[in-house]
Amino acid sequence: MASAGSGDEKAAAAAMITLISSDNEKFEVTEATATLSQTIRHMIEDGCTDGGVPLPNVTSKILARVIEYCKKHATAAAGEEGSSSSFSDAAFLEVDRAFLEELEEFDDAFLEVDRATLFDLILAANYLDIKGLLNLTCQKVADSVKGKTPEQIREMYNIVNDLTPEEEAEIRRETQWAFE
Amino acid sequence: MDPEPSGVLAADRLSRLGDAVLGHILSFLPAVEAARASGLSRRWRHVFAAVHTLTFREEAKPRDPYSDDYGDSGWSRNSDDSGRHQARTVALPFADAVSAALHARHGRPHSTVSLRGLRIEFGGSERAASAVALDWWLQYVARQAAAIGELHVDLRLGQGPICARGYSLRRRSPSPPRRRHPLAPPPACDSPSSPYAPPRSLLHCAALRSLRLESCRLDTPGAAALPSLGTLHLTRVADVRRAGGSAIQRLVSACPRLADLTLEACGDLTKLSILSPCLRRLALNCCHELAAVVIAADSPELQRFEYSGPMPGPWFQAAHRPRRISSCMVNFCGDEAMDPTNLARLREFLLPFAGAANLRIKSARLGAGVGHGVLSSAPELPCFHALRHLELTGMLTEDDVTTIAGVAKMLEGTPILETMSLLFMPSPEEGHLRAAHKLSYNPYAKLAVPEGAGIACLRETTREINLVYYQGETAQRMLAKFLLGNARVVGEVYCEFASGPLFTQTKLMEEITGWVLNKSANMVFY
Repeated sequence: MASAGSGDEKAAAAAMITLISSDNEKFEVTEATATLSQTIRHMIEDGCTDGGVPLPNVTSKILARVIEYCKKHATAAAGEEGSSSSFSDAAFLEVDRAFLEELEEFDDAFLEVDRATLFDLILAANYLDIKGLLNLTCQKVADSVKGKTPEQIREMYNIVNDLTPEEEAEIRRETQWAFE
Repeated sequence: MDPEPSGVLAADRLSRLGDAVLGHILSFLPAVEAARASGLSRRWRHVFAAVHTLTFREEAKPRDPYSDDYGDSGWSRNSDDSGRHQARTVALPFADAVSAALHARHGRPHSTVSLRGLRIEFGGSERAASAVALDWWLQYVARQAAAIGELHVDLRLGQGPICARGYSLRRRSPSPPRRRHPLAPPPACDSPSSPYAPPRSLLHCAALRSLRLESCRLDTPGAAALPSLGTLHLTRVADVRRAGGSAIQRLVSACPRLADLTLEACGDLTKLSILSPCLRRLALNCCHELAAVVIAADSPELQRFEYSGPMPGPWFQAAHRPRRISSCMVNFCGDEAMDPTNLARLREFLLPFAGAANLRIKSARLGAGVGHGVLSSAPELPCFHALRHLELTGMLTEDDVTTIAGVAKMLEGTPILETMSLLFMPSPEEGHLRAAHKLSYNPYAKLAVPEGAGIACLRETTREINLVYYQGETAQRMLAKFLLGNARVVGEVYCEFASGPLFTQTKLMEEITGWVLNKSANMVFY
């Protein structure tokens, strides 16, 4: 797997996977890139990737972005094994700091998308089980609501408040500890 | 994020995400905000049950850092009762809010996701929760984690400084160097008389992946067992020694998969041995009594090493040099070391990390006293054959020719150095005299610069030279002249001056520009 990430053409060509988007577009990716998705990893392990992996929930536009993310992160993932949580600072352990900074810049630029795309990316990351991408996109949503009042959040995301005053009072009682 | 194009009813796509994803999003927020989201709409009512990580952070209480008995002052005692009463009416005490939040989840009948992360940070300097409550929180998460096999705990019970040792130079006088007293009392643990000891169930939690404890006490009679723990961070943790040895040591020994270890201000620790073969990062910060460290013979993974503490650092015993070491950061706090045996040991201390690509040394005197041995027999540093970035921080004053010769010698051992950064610390004794004026420039001083034509890295590889907080002291000018006048391929020169009159800064700038050998280099002055 490590050799696939190193850019060695022959070694990489030996382990190519074809991903098929919902609109029937085919994407050829290396196994190292594809296995950032736990869903695809399991499919490969089960030996059911011949003839391509159909991804009926992901459009070609979103899949292209997801693959862009996975390609960039595939090399970084090699050393990270298993440390899934945002808690762990295992990422800091990577050898090359400059590479990490570059990765961070990539992530920042990657998130420069409109809200509809962001939600599509969240859904794709969740379906494909790509932890890094799910954390990245969910963090972005979390940052956007941080410190906001419920009214501001509703307005920002077009959430309609359908709670009755009685229900609101009850919720407030249940979460009394969270209000000052 | 760009706003949704307005027009026909913009859809509420956020609320249409599944519970698990919404819970994941709220897990990035402070627990208080995650809980308040319950009131957004009916859809959100039970999403808090899907939150898997709870973060509670109490705002730091304002506290005079120089007074340790702030709480006992007359003002505080007089207003004690009314103050407490007020606190109760204004907000639930922090600890009670944590308990209430966990109780709320505990009591919820349907589809509550198991917690896999709990972060609690108290704002005061003293523990403000009962041991019973703390035990309950930790036992609760440890029990839940067993089902999902993953748990991260971060418990910081009190804030405080990591290190109280300031940097200072000693006058080079015939007076004998002061030795560190071997039995000096350990730095006071900034916590109440009996710090909290986490329960046995947490230290036997097979699911625990990362653990951070601050201002606690480790007092486990039996051995701990943390087979999954990868990250361990202990700050101001009191070590209780029993028949079985140090409790911190026993905890470290109980983690066969430990990859990232940070020990800070654990003043009781004297010896440490790390046997995990997975160790990738090791940070030992101001555990001032630490005298010996043993790294597993087969720990080939060590990449980053950080040390803060007295010079020259603990004895390192590593059977082999860590092959993958990439960065080594050393910070010798406190007074300048002048004891020749200590200086001689600097070499041995740094030897295991000689393969590093990044090296940072911070010390009272720039370069950690390289060149300042007895009879100026410079303690030679090891040859850093792979070093690409070198950063030296410290004071360089007056006409300290010895340090300059020492730095020159050091550069002979770094054949492929690319970046050289020098951060000149201001001398503390002069700081208060001329608060706004930190420059010290004597245009008539003779700049005696060593011969540097033979230094390979300056000739061939050094492309960037940074001078930070440049004060224009004669020795600083000598060092700058030496580096810039010999760096043939330097492409970037960055110099940040200490505050002072523009006139002097301009003089210094012109002088530096004149020294730069490679006239095509890009120069930035600040």
